Amino acid sequence: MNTKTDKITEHYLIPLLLFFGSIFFVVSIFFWNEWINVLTENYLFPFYPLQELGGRKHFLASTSLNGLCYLAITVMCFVSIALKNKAFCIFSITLSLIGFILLFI
Amino acid sequence: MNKNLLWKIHNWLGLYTGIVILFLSITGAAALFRPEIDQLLNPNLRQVEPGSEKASLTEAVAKVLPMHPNKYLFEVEMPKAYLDTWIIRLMPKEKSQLNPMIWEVFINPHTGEILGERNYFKSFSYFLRNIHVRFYEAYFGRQIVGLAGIALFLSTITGLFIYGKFMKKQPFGKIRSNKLRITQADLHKFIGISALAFNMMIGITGAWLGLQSYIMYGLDISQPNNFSRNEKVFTEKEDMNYILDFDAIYQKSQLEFPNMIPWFIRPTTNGEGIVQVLGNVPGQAYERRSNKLVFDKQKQELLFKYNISDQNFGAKLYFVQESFHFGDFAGISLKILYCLLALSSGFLSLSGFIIYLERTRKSKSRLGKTIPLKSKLSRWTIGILGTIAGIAIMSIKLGLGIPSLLVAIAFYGFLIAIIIKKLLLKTKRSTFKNLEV
Repeated sequence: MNTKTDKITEHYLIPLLLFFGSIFFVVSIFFWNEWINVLTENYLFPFYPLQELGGRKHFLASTSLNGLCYLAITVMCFVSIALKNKAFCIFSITLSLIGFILLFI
Repeated sequence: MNKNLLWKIHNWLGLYTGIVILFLSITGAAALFRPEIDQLLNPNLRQVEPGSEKASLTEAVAKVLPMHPNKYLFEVEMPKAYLDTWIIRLMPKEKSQLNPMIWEVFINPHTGEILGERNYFKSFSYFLRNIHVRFYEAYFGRQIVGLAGIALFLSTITGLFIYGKFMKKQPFGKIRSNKLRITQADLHKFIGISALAFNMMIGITGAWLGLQSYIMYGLDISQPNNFSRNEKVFTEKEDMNYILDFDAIYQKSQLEFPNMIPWFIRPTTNGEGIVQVLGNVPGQAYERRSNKLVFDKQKQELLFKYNISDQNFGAKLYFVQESFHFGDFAGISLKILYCLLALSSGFLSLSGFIIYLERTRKSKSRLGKTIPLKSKLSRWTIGILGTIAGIAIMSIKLGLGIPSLLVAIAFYGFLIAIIIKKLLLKTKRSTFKNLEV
């Protein structure tokens, strides 16, 4: 039985994945919240003015897409932590870095 | 950097600031839910039956102001999540140091009916904010909380750097349960590394919010959405008594900035003759008052528009501090997550303290100084919760002034007592040494 600890994965990749995972979890909650707020509002007396943001339909489409993408990355981060597979961890970190950069664009 | 030195810093920070961080974690976790708690405690003030009818805000203000001749209008808060009503906020014309006041009048926006009134400083919601933001200490409380933010950040960073050293060959997630100290150490490591991003963010934003006025003064930074008129178009009295058409200003703000949901309408009282409309734009995670319109009171002309989306990175960074710190950008789900993470920060202080006590138990027992862990923790828990409950009762009964003064006396008195006790102990020891020689 292999009992050797992969220090790179345990000491560096997992903390990094936890860092990104927690950020993206918050980001996906944010998009989910924006989406559900607009979806469930009374469309006859709308509370959310969305004219300059492309209208209700566009806002719902973009928030749901963003929310699902970031939720997928979050799940990948936590699955990588559970599996502790170095290659999968590195792949998830690469994806997380792209997701992180996209947050600021 | 030497890992032993980092461990010493981590240990030292935890030992001397852990209790403050624990206190802030508990109060912060509760402060997250201020609007929800306020709604739960005061449904008659914050909740109304939904309807399509709209009352006139101008008429509501005109009805309220003559009822309070000793107060002036400070701002109007508009309905939003967890607030169905208008809140007309008034300030006393003659300010009292011992009894400061923000008077809130709650209005039904469909009928214009006055639902109730209160002094905001006597509300439980204000207590929750003040106990977290400044320990209920009016003089340097905010700065002390800011310093605790720096301590949390440094503690998190040093914890990250020594994580590998303490993990050695131990895999992530494996908790050993043979000894209390070992179990607590494992939990401390795993919870600490899992809440790394949260603690770093809370540390940075907490330090900024606490020390903001000093940092801004030192670095010559002004508030990004600040606007003021150079010339005074009114006397202060004229400005204060100007009858403003709030409904027209509200409609104008929707025309000038269609995406902004107005949260506050705030007229000046210093003679500038302007009115500010502060609000939130959907899809943004910035502070809810970062977007702004400024109108001339008389002509209702737009003088200034501030859309945070059009600003530079520095301004955006400025306006995420408060929303990120209080988790006020993604509804109740995020607040629940923040609450769990805040409590985990408190747990880190507690587990760190248990590890320290267990580690030093042998040397202390040789000197006959040990107090059982359970009784020590019970004393601290009762002490912290008792203090919070005591301040809460005083705050609700007496308002801000007197409790704040009492807390300041107790806080600095306690500090002075500890310093005197330490100095006396030191003098006693040196006297014994001299006698022995």
